[in-house]
Amino acid sequence: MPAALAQSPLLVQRERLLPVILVSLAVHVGLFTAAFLHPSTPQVDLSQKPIVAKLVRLGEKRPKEWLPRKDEGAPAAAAPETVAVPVPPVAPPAPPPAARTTKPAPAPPAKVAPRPANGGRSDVLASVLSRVKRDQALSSPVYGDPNGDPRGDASEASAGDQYLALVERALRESYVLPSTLSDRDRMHLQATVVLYLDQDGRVLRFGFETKSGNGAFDAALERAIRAARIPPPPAELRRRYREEGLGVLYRP
Amino acid sequence: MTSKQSLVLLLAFAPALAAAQSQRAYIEIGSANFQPLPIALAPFRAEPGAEAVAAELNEVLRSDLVLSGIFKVLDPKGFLADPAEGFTAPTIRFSRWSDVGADGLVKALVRRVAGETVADLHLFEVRAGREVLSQSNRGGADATRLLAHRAADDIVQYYTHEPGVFRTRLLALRRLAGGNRELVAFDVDGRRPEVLHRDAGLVLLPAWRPDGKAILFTAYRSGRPELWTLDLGSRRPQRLLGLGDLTTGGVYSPDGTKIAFTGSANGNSDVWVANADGSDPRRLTTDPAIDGSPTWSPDGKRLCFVSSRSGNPHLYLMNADGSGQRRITFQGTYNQTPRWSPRGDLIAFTARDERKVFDVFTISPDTGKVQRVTQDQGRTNEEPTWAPNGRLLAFTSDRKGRPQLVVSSPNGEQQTIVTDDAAVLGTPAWGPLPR
Repeated sequence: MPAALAQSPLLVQRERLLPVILVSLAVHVGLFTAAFLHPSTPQVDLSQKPIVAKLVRLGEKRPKEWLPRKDEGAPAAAAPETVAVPVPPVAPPAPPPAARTTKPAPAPPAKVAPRPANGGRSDVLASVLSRVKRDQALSSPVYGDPNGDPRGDASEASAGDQYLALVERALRESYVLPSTLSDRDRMHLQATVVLYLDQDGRVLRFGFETKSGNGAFDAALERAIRAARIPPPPAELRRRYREEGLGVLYRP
Repeated sequence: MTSKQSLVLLLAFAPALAAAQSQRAYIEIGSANFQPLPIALAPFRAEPGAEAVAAELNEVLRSDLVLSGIFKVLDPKGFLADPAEGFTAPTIRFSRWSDVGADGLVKALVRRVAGETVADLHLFEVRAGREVLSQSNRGGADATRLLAHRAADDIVQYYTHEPGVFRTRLLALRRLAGGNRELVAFDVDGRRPEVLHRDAGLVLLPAWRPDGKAILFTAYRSGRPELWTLDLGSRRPQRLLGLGDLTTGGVYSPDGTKIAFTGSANGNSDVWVANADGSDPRRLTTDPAIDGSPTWSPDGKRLCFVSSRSGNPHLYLMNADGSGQRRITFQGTYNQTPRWSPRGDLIAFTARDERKVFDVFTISPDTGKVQRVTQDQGRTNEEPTWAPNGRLLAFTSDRKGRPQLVVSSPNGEQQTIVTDDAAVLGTPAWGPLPR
């Protein structure tokens, strides 16, 4: 055999290849054995409270010694109770001719849209009511952080993984459970779902890694996932969330 | 090592490298938005002569389910189903009910039999397309509301696995124009007022005995506040206990064997405990500040009370023997009238906020977290009392002028004014479950 041919890597030389193959085999066997025996653990310690990033709202700090206020404002009264809102008198656009004096007719409130032939009074009333509510909202102090963002929606914030925080917020917005869920179920139910996301954040498919055992709870999770609007993942994470998915542990 | 060997070694370790990089990320989602379960009440069918009863039954049941705070009762105007469809699952087109968003469906047939009202109630799960509850209840001619309340309790029990409270009674003090006071019991929906006791003098702070057969209240018949009991069978009031200058605000322990109250024996207001018959009174607090307004934990092992030892009235906890006293409220300057939920997880109380408005709040005795129940709804919302299942609160509110009773969910999202009494109502007390 020519010397050059003897050096060719295409020639199988058992005495050189055999040890390498044996090493590779041993490594593979060891890895598979370890993977089989060692329970997979999530990257995130699920017993820990997740760290969430929130956009802090611009506002003044509410003194800690004050009792808390609800951010949303007072709930609406239950039907058929209605809350009477004092409405300032509004002059009609067509004043009665006989009763007029030489004084000019009172001008209608500013920014009142032209009324149709029917239901005009209700339009004016709605306009006044919305203005009253807007004025009340403006006059109520907004509590948040003096260094916050006008578009923020949280009065407090903590640092965390940005994209996962956005995903968490999107999933929570659609996460609705029936109020009839018993206390015991609220304390003990949990289910893990794996979401597979495309580059736009849409859920390509999802599946239960572990079900809760409560059909109503699992059905509510399916509805929540279908209704969620998840933001697009960062470019470097797209493949990961498309192929490996994102695990979500749901608890009431 | 040759390049060929390197390549082979790299391929050998490639699976290990890939495995190390492909661990899935997990996040946890909690704090769900709980929303009422959509439920449809089909117009109840009635045999001849029972039409009015069927309509009243439907209306009262609808009102109870709304009041429970856990159901969204759908408007019947939007129903698509055939009104003539039957009462069994095979005869019902569940898709029609699903189209209007119903998860639950209630149907009933009302009959008059030998002067009694018979209501055959059926509850269906729309998604599953099956009947889950079927009951036939009967009652006298004047028992229509009770039949409806019972049906509401059964529906609540099915979904929550907890008892409903619509057959319980709300007790309140009614102040009449002439100065007389009455202890009046209402249905949970504020109807069927029943005067249990009328007094020319001042009576206040009623509390139910756990068996529902007697009421403990404070009266000034002797010129100073003392504890009295009213047996609901004989309607006879009886003096129970009077200590020193002040004996007021008595509440029974959950097992009914003891009472806790505010007493002042040496000119100092303190929390006391005694046997339910008034014997063996023992003082639990000794601080020179004003201590009072006790409420029991549901296991009877602890008490929550109000003390001004810090300078302002705040809520404190202690063991039932008076040991381990610690403050739990640190917000606000005037916190009063605590009431411990039967579930043990929350204590409701009245507090005055920075705008000098009185509102109802809850605090977790474990975490100390305070949450607001009422806000911007009148100037005075006060004296909360818990339903025996801990799913509802009642309190008085002046949002419509005269203080009236309001039934609310614990977070205040669902509030309903249930009374429109001509008189002022105060110090409500929610009765126990019927036995």
